[in-house]
Amino acid sequence: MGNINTTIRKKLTFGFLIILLASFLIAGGVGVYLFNDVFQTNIQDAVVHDLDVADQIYVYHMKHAEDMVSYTAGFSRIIDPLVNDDHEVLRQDLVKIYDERFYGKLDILTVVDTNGIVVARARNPELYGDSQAGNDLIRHAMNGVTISSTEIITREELLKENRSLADQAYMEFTPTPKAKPRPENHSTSGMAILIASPIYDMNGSIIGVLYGADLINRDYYIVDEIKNALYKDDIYGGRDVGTATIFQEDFRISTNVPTDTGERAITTRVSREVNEAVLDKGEYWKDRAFVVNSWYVTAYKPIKNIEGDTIGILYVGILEQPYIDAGYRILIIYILFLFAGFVLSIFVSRYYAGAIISPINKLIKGIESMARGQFEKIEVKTNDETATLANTFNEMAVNLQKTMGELVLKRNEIETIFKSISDVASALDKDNRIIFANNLAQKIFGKNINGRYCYQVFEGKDKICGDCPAIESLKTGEVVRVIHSRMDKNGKEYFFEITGSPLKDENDNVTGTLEIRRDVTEQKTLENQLRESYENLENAYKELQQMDKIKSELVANISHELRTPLTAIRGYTELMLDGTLGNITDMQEKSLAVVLRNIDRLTRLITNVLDFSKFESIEHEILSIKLDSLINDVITDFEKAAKDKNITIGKDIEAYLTLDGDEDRLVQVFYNLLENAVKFSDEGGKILVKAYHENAYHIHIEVGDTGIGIMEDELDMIFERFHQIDSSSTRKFGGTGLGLAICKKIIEWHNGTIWARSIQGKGSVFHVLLPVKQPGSNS
Amino acid sequence: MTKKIMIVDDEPDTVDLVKLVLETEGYEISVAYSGSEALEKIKTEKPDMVLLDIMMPGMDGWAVRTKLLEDNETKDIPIVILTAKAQPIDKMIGLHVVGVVDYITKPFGRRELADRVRKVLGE
Repeated sequence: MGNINTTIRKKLTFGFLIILLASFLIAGGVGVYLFNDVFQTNIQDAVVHDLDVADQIYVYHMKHAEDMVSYTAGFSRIIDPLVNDDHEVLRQDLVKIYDERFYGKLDILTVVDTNGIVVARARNPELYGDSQAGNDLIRHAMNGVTISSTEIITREELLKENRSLADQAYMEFTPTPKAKPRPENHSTSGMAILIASPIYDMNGSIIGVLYGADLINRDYYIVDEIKNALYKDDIYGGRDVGTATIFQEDFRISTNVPTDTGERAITTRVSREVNEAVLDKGEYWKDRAFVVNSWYVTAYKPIKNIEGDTIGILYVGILEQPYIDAGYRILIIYILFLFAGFVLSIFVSRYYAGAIISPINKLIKGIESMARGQFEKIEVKTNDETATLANTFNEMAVNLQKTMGELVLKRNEIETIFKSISDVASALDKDNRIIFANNLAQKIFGKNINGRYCYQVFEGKDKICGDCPAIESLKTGEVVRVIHSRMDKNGKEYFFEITGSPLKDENDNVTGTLEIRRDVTEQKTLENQLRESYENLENAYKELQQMDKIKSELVANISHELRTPLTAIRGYTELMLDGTLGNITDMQEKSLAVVLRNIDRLTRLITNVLDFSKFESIEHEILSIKLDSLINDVITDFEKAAKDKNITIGKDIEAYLTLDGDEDRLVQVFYNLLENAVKFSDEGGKILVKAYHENAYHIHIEVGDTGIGIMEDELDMIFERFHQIDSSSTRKFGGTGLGLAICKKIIEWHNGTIWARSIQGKGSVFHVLLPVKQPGSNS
Repeated sequence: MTKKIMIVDDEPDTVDLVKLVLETEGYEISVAYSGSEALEKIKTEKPDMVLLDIMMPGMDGWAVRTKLLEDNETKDIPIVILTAKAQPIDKMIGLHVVGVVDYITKPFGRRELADRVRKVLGE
């Protein structure tokens, strides 16, 4: 019982956890995907966008410088001395203007005349008179355009403008692992935003160019501006999240990307990958990149000079770490939720397991009590399958109780029957041990015979009987019956009929036998006597049959032997009678006629005797007969004889009378009956033949005459052999006395009956009733 | 031409009677008193028909008929059985099995015998 609980509880909990785990895994997978793909892409897109903003800041800065230079070019303090060729004053004024307005904003401020010859340098007033005519921007400005661009300035030029600028620009490269190798390990030139603006006189003629420059090397104004504008003070782990860098060629000249020591990572170089994409091909580049010492999500774009050549790179990047850490944080929260879910699901599953198990426990208790034989109704109030199960169980319990009641009743009935069997009855197991014995068995063989072997108890033997019906019944599953005989002390033989019947379980397997022993001594004795008498009778019958056969043969032979002398007697009598052997007297003729008639009678007698004795041994042919035409034919045969005696034959014969029978024999019957009727009727008498269906199965034939009739007490005897009413009638009418006996025999052979009704002196009616169908006939 | 009829019967009285009857009818008669004698005489005398008894000691009528059938010279001689065996079965054997032309049972009427003999001889 405990096992079932834990199992269901465990299964439920396990199931819950599996579901939870599966959903978390799916959600986690989706999360990782989103983070890696969508989220990072978004960050990358943001960085690209930031780069555009950075570029605008850079351009704004350039324009601002342009505005300042262009505005300053309109100063009369510059125009006037230049118009008046008062260069010394200009030089002094320019230094002042620079100090007042541009200190810290521009690094160079220089005036050239229309020939491109330097007139005044604010940062190096002592040097002038050199030519800057080769400068593209100055040439543009000479055409009246204020112009600005980023340009590389050589050390030589820097030195001209101000010695400190050359130092500021000089950079020794910090070895960078992923960078593209370069032959030199330092750079002497600098990169600067250069502005040139024309100077006009009062008449609007260009009289010179004012140009300025802001050296970017080691100048962090722009990059910090970009950082502040885009990322403010986002700090992560003591580091700026957002960074901006300006590269001169491939090395950092202005940046807020820190080194490990926290300094600005200038003089370090860009990776080969970026170098080739941006510097060599002039393209944008965006990806996560390892910058200096950390992973950043970055974007790079080329910085071009006025000629359109890429001379540097503008970079924006944000630290990847915060996002990675955010991912980890999400993961940790996620795991915490997962754990909480696990704990929760354990509680929930325990609760549900309890809800499921408690009615099951009730069921188990109910089943256990049923197993002990007590039927208790189980109350389960949940509204689910368990309740259905409980209800079904209750129903089953009720049915079972009912069935059990019936079974007990049946068992009691059977026990009562078994006990009251008036023979020795015992139930045996497969090894022929007595399981149960009825009262009579206990009375005869003792109370304590249960468990003992049947042959020991009932037969007094120490091994199983050779013809044991119980064993046979076990083997075959059939009821087996044998007779055992035994002598008692006095030599009297007893017989027992032992019946073994299989006892079967619900699957029809034979599990034992029921053995009933009945004392059949008396019955057996009777039986033996009966059999003896039967055998005697049978022998007698066979003897009789044999004798009958011999008799039949004898009769046949005798009849043949009688015919031979009759032949000569008849033949010569006839010859004498017809005068062949000489004339005879009337008296002789009459006498010979009598002799001849009696010879014929004798011949018929012989024939009939033979017929009668042979009747059984002849094979009869049963066919469908048209009885109406058969009788009509017979009547026709007698018409002449009847006419001779002035007898009328009337007939009332139904058409279509068919029946099964032996035609020749039936002809013989009706021939005989008609012959008798004609014979026994007086002159002018009447004969009436009727034939009709008595019912669907029988045909009735009547042959009536107006003859002498038969005495009532003779009626039954006329069908006996050799009977005629008296010898006088024999003399009068001839006949053998066998005719009606043969008729009776033939009719009875056809399963019919023949009888006669008569009034003495008035006439007789002979009745024949024949069945339409003969048994075994297929017609 | 007078037809010759052979009578075969072991019973002399019967032979005499039949002979008398048939001679009265104008036939030439030859007789044999046993089956073997009959066979011999039939071969030499070639009668127009034979009246044959069945139950004879030694060779019976059936055996005589069978022998006659085996011989080409005698097989076509018409045989009429004249016997005391009146059973239908014997009549059937005679007429249908061994193929005799007629079967007359004893005792017979004088006219009956004469009529049937005449019929067999086709007169």
